[in-house]
Formats: sequence, structure tokens, C-alpha cells
Amino acid sequence: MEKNRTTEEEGVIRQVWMMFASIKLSIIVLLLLAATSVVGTLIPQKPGARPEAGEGLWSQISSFLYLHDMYNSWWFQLLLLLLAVNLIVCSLERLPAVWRWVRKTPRPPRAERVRKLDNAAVFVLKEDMDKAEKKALDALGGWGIRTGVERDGDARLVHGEFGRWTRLGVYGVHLSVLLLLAGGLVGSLFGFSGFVNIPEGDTAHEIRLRGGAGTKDTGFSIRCDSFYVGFYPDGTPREYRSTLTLLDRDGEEILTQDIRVNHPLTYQGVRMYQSSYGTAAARSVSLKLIPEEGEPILMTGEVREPFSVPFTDGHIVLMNFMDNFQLRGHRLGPTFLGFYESAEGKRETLVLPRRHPGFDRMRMGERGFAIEINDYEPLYFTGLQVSKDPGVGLVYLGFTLMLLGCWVVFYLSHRRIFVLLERREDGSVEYTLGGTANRGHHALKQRLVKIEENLKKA
Amino acid sequence: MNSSLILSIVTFVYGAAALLYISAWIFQKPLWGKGATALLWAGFLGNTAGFCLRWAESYQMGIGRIPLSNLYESLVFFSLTMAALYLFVEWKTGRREVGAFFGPLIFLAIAYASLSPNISDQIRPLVPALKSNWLTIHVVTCFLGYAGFALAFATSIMFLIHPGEGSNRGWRTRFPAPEVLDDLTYRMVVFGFLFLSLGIISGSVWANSAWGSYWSWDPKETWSLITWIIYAVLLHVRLMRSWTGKKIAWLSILGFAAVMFTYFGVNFLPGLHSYGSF
Ligand code: HEM
Repeated sequence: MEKNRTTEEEGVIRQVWMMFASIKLSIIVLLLLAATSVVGTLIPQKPGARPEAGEGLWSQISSFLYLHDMYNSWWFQLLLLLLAVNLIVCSLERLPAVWRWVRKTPRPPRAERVRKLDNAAVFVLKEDMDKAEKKALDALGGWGIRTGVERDGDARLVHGEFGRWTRLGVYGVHLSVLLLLAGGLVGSLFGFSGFVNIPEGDTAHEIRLRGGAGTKDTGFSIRCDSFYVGFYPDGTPREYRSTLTLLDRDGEEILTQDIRVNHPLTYQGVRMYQSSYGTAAARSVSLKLIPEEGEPILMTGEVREPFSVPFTDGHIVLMNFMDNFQLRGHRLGPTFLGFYESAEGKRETLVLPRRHPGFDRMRMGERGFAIEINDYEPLYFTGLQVSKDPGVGLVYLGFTLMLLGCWVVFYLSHRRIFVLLERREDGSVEYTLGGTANRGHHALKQRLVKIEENLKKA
Repeated sequence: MNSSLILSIVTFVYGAAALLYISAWIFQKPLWGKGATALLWAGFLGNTAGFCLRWAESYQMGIGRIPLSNLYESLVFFSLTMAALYLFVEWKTGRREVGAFFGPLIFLAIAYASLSPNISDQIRPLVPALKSNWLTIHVVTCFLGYAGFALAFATSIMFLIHPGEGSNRGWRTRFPAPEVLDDLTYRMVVFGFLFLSLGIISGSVWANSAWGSYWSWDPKETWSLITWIIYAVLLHVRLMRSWTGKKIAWLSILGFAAVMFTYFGVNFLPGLHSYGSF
């Protein structure tokens, strides 16, 4: 009774185990991953956004299933986990047998078996047995194959073997998939990724994490010494470059380095990438004042410093620069905000978009002159992506192993080639040439044809 | 003589080669088949010359970059890889029937590039993100993979319309035997899989060096992964469930549909491939 129950339990465990070892499950999981990934490309994804479950059924479903951050959802991660378990169990189930195969030098087959090989070729050459044996050994050895000879009376069997280890290639591929999954996991557990904008001359030590997950202290400070953007004649950007200096907690400089797109800076596993830029402020501004009558005049000055207006005795102060100012839903682009104070002390707000010089003229009212931004010298900020991903090493190892593994699986095989030599009545030698391979029978056949040519040559 | 002109001429040479392959097959004229091969070689050499000339032209313009970075250039290169792979396979197998199905694909890719009014053949400079040796590796490997899958697509179609060994129903029996087609499909899938893996991996390494994330689930990346999974499934069912023939042919057609979607369809989805033009 008791015994029965345990075997029953064992039976169940065994069944579950076999389910995880089955290739059917992997196919289902892989197809599910593909199908759900399609969905993820149809619904725009906003990683990190966690929409509250709203009223309707759809929004409840959508928030439960994380449809807007699918690839980070619990069920997508579950599918990946299932794939990993499937791969591990499947490999544990098969590897021991394959390992025994690989460890053991196979015994040379009997003459009878060689004759029965479906790719066996038979031919007769007039020559001495010893010479034939040496020739056969040379012909096989030339292929980078391990060779040997069996002598049995008048018959000799020259045999060669190549690539028993290639049977392990497929486990390399599967291990590589596990490494990729592990690398991704390590990265998401112990890594971070975020952005920071640093104006030229400024220093930052905190970044905004991706997906609105708060901020993070990088452990050191980043100072942007300068930023440069260069253009081709047609206006396409040619190069973005930031000169960065890293400082430790006490403000001591650690290093200074230029970064460009595709050429990040790495320090203590934290990588800084050139990712965007913009104008943070204006170093100096040139204004064009256009009176209703008479010549316009140009004045150069700085933000927050008054410009005195010669024809009214009032003055202009620019308070603020906005890289992309929006007014009632209109994007005005780079814009200076400030005020004009007349001689009597009356203040009027100014909005001066660089790209819309007519903007102030429409609003100039009783002031008597219009103001345009003639030019300004920008103070840039550099936009850095700052990230740390301790999983990258595992992932790259996985990449390498996957490519090597696929190469071995697809283009190499475990081959055995046999040359059976038998002396005939008339003193000539009858050759029987054939081979086996665990895959790539076509390639084996071609190789056999080549060997046959070599044997017949001299 | 500029590269666009050469490539327009190549388009017509490829078109003529495809027609000749089809005629040779329908009317059973081996000599025409030889002519088709000669024309395809001519097209391939012209295609290569056009590619190299465009590269040289970019240097004359002071831009200096390999022509692999917009839709026009990638289509031209796609034709180049398809022609190269096909010529190799034809040389290895000594059969020309596949050319009747695959020749039109080689022609279509470059014809789309040369003739579509929406595709500009101007040489534009590279934005900073594209200035990387990984660009070359990534594009070359991806398109070699696509070429393998395209050839597998052609042999799969041929397999499906093959009436079966021994049947004697006209033109379709002049195909290679079904096993030969099945085997060819498999080998091309294997070739494509290896190179698509290389393509995805090089793209991933590049993304990591350009902005610090080797995988970000953008639609193009995701679709290349979907494609890769479909072919991985094909390899598994063939090996472990011993599927061959019709089922494998359909899977390979599905896989190629995913390839086409990765290449063209993604542009219609929300969110763009971060690298831009293709
Ligand atoms: C993304 C995931 C996977 C990839 C890329 C992959 C890749 C491969 C490749 C390339 C082969 C060789 C195919 C051939 O020889 O034609 C193979 C074989 C195989 N795969 Fe996978 N595989 C994956 C997942 C799995 C999973 C989850 C299982 C779990 C059961 C599995 C089980 C097998 C088995 C049993 C073989 C046959 C091995 C043999 O020849 O004895 N694979 N796989």
C-alpha cells in the first residue's frame, strides 16, 4: 500500500519531469513568445509606465496583463522562465547519454557492416597489401582524422574518426540561450539605466531613472566641460561631442575624456553615452530694435542684464531662455522671455521667439518699437544616457557560444570512415570504402568521393 | 556614368535573366538556361560595380561611407546577396529550375529600389549613430541571412506545387525531385539562421556601444526575434518531430513573411527603429 503510493508519487513527478523535458513544450513556449511579441509591437509600449486600473473592462484587463509594458510583465517573464526550465530539464535528460557517447572510443566495426553501409564503394587495385594500408592511412589522416588499423588474417580495416565532440555542439547552443536569459536577469536586478542633462560648466551626480522610477546617485560627479555639435553642409549632424570630467565625492578630478556617439566613457562599470543635446541658456544675446520710423539698431548684452533703449529711455531685461517654448499649444522653438520697463516704470512682458521675428511686432502696442532676437550664443547642455549593466558579460559570452555552437551543429558532424582491404586470389586488393555520420550525410558522401579519388591516384 | 545609372541597367539585366530562366524551364531549352546564367552573372558583376562606384562617389562628395544605410542602398545590396547566393547554389547543384522562381525575387528587390518614386537614390551623409564599423557587419550579415531565407522561400513554393515524384503532369515535373527541394530548403534555412543570428547579435553589440542597451524591444528588433524564433521552431520540428515536406515548406514560407515584415512592415508600426531609415 505504502509502497504503491510512493511509486505513484514518483510516477507523477516523473510525468511532470518528462513534460518539462519535452520538445513539444518548447515549441509551444517559443510560439507563444513569438505571438505575444507580435502583440507587443502592435500596442505602443511605454516601459515603466504603470497605468492604474481604470473603469472599463478593457482597461482592467490591460492593466492586469501589463499590455503597455508587456516585455516586463509577470506573464512574459514567466514564459521566459518556462523556456529556461524546459531547456535545463531537457539537457539534463539527454546530456548524460551523449556524454557517454563522446567519452567512449567506438570499436571498429566488422567487415560485414562496412560492406553493408549504404554509401559503400567497392573497387579493386593491383597492388601490395602493405602499400595499400599505408595509402589508406594517409588518405584518412590527411583529413584531420584520428586513424587506426585492425588486422584480421588477410583482411585489414583502416578506420578514421572525426569530431565526436561535435555532438555537444547543440548543448552549446542551448547553454548560450540560458546565458542570454541569465545575463538579462542579472542586468535587470543589479543594473540601472537613466538620463541626465548637464549644461556646459555644470556638474551632476544624480540621474533620472528610465520609466519614471526615481533618481539614482552614481557615486561620482560628472562635469560637462564643453559640448560641440558639427554639421554637414546640408544640415545633417556630423558629430556630437562632450568633454566630460569625472569627480569623486570630495570634488577631486578623476579623469577627463571626450565622448561621442558610439564612443562612450566607462568608469567603475558605469557607462556614459552621448545621447542628446540642447540649448540650456544663452551666453550672450544680440537684439534688434526696430522703431516705427528710422533705422533699426543692434545691441549686444547678456541675459538678466538690462539693455537701455536709446529712443525711449526705458530698458529691456531678458530673464529666461527656453529651448522649446510653448504658448497656447504652439511650439515657438528657442525663445527669450523677459520684460520691457518704460521710463515711467510700466512693465510689459516680452516673448521673443528666435524663429518668429514678427511675433513681437504684432504685440508691440504703444511701446513704439519692435524687438527681434538677432542672434545669440548658445550655452549647450549635453544629454547623457548613464547605465550600468553587470549582465553584459554573460550576454556576450552567450552570443559567442551561440555562434560557435550553431557553426558546429550545422556544419560539422561526427564522422567515421572505413577502408576495408581484402586480398584477392589474383594478388590484387579489393577496397571497400564507406562511412557513417550523425548528420550531414551529403557532406560525408562528397568527402568519400574525394578519398576514393586519392586512393585510386597512385 | 554614375552608380544610379549602372544600377538601373542592372535592373533590366536581372529582369531579362529571370525571364530567360522561366522560359528555359517552361520550354525545356538547356541552352537558354546557360544564357540565363550568363546574364545573371553579368547582372551580379554590374550590381557589384554599381555598389563599389556608389561607395567611391560618396568619397568624392566628402561623405565617405559604405552604401548600406538607407532603403535604396539596402535593396540594392539585398539583390546583390541574393544573386551571389543563388549563383553559388546553382554552381554547387548544377540545376537551374530554381532560377525560374528565385530570379524574379532578385529582380524585384532592385526594381523596387530603382523604379519606385518614393525611394530616393541620393547619397546622404551618415548621422553620428550610424558611424560605426558595426553598421557594415550588421547589414551584411542580416542581408546574407535574408537571402538564405528568400531562397528557402522559393524552394518551398516549388516543393508545394510539385505534383510528386513519378507523376507526369507537364511543366511542374521538370523540377528537381521533392527530396532535393526539401533538402535545399533546409540548408538555406540553416544558412539563413546562422547569419540572422549573426545579424541580431552584431546589431545588439552595436546598440550597446552606441547607447548602452543591447536590447530594447523596439519593433524592428522584436520582429527580427520573432523571425528567428519561427526558424528555430522549424529546425526543432524537423529534427525532433521529423517533419519534412509540406509542413516544413509552410513554416519556411511563414518565416519569410516574417522576414519581409521585419524589413518593410515595421515602418507602419508605432515607434521606429531607433537607427532610422530601415
Ligand atoms: C531559443 C531557444 C532555442 C534555440 C535557439 C535552439 C536551437 C537549437 C538548434 C540550432 C538545434 C539543432 C537543430 C538541428 O540540428 O537541425 C537544436 C536542437 C535541439 N533542441 Fe533546441 N533550441 C532552443 C530551445 C530548445 C528548448 C527549450 C528545448 C527543450 C526541450 C530544446 C531541445 C532541443 C533538442 C532536444 C534538440 C535536438 C538535439 C539533438 O540533436 O539531439 N531546444 N536546438
